[in-house]
Amino acid sequence: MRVVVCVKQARVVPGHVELTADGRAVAEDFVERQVNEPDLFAVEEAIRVRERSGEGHVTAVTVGDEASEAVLRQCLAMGVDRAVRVAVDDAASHDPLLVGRALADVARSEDADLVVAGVQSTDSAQQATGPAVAGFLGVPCVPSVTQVGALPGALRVTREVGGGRAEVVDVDLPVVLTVQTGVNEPRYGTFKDMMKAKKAEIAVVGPPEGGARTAVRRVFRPRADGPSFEPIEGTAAAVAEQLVALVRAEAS
Amino acid sequence: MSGTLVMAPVADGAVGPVAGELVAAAASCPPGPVVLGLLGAPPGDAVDAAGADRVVAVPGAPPGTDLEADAAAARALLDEVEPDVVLTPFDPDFAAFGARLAAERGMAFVADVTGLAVHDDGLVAVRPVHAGKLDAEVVCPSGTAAWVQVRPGAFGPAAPAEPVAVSLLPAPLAGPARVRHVEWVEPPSSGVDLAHADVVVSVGRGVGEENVGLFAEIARRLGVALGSSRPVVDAGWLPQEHQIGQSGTRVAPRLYVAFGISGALQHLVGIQGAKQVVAVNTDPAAPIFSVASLGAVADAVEVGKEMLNLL
Repeated sequence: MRVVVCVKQARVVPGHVELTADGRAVAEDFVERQVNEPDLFAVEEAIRVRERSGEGHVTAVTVGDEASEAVLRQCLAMGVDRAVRVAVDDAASHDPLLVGRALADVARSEDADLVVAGVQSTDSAQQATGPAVAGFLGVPCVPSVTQVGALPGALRVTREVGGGRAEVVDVDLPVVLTVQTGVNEPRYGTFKDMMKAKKAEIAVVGPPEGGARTAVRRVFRPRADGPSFEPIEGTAAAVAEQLVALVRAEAS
Repeated sequence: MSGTLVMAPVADGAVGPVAGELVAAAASCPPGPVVLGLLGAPPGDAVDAAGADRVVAVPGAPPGTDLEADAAAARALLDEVEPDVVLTPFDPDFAAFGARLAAERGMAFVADVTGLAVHDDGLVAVRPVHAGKLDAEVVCPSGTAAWVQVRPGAFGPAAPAEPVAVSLLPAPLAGPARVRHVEWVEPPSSGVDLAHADVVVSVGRGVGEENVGLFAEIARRLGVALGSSRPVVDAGWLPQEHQIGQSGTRVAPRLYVAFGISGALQHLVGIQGAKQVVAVNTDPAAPIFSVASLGAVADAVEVGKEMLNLL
């Protein structure tokens, strides 16, 4: 069973930011990079699929610049077998279809039976990566998966359908799954795995041809005209008093 | 290739308000005919199309019931209409196949769109970025078809219009089923009735694991329900029955007080029925404030401790 797991390095910004001179992005000084937490559940699930199948191979892949290799080293420390980065610059990587095409190309060259990704990224949250990869590979995508079980040549998966309900489906391979959050406990690598991961070689491939289909023109603060909510001023005690009064008025 | 194809669900025998919102959004797309494409069995021979020029429907189960059937229905609508722009709701059912179809058909793609306008360089979509702290303008260049997923509620409802006759498309030929239904799983019944609560006190990751108990006690002493965002349940700080959001419980209380909740879209969807939302969060840019009528930029735990002193 050959598994490819897609991992993103998300961007986190504070409440107050400054923008670049061209207004197209948040200034570098205000951007922190962090592994996209939902993807860790996908990495853990990929490793468990390999463990259950007895033999298999997991490749972690990310799309981004050199600094994004940090998320691949985290995956190697967790125990994936191989890591690949598709070199795409920041400005282009906002486009889910460019990212999807890059990931699909790697899935093809890795001869993947199964591609897994997190259900969405914390920064962009378009829920598009898994479906985009499936579209480029010409295979189905099952999103929001909470359980994965093996069948001969297929998988039996449970997917969330909203309101706490779920559906169990059998899916033929190859297939793309997106893994919901909270479905497993992503492992920490052993100290030995972490040391190995530091030194491991990460394969780097070039970006797909054609580039991004959409472009970011500018970013801006959504509530430029000021907050629309009525602020409660004062100390924590003053806020607390108002909230207790409000709840008591509505609860009666 | 011309015009705008709006895709909307038929569920419970009705074309819901989201169809009208998307037809209204089509007014901000490049000029051309607007076709309302329904997924699911249409409720009658004619429907209120909210101003669309034409209505087509692919009969079948409502979106989200059969993943491969949804993708096939979307392909059938694309083949029939050949639009410049596709507008669909941004929700999990449509997200499941949106980027997949856009990838198959060589289209541009953008999701969670709250604004649209035609400019010289193409169709410009506004969408939240950086966890909703900022907005971005994304250009879908003219000459490339675009697949746009619109945030429900972002465009106002369209005025009611004369009914338009529905053309039924033939059900797409099914190939061998690569995704096969086994069974549905219902959620376990729980003792927490969030769906009917008048007041909900809710906690997010911002309060920290060690303070969840504080807010549980506040809710208990005030006699109100305790809810939470998804990350709190994912982390195991509260059981699943407290989860509020798209995949948890949708609530419609008179008052919803959110402590340390950032306001990710899937949570906002769960509280859109709330009459009044009050938020306490240290981050003034947290998206929860965009749906709150009252709020304090403050430490939720500090406020919580003071609240407990009063109870």
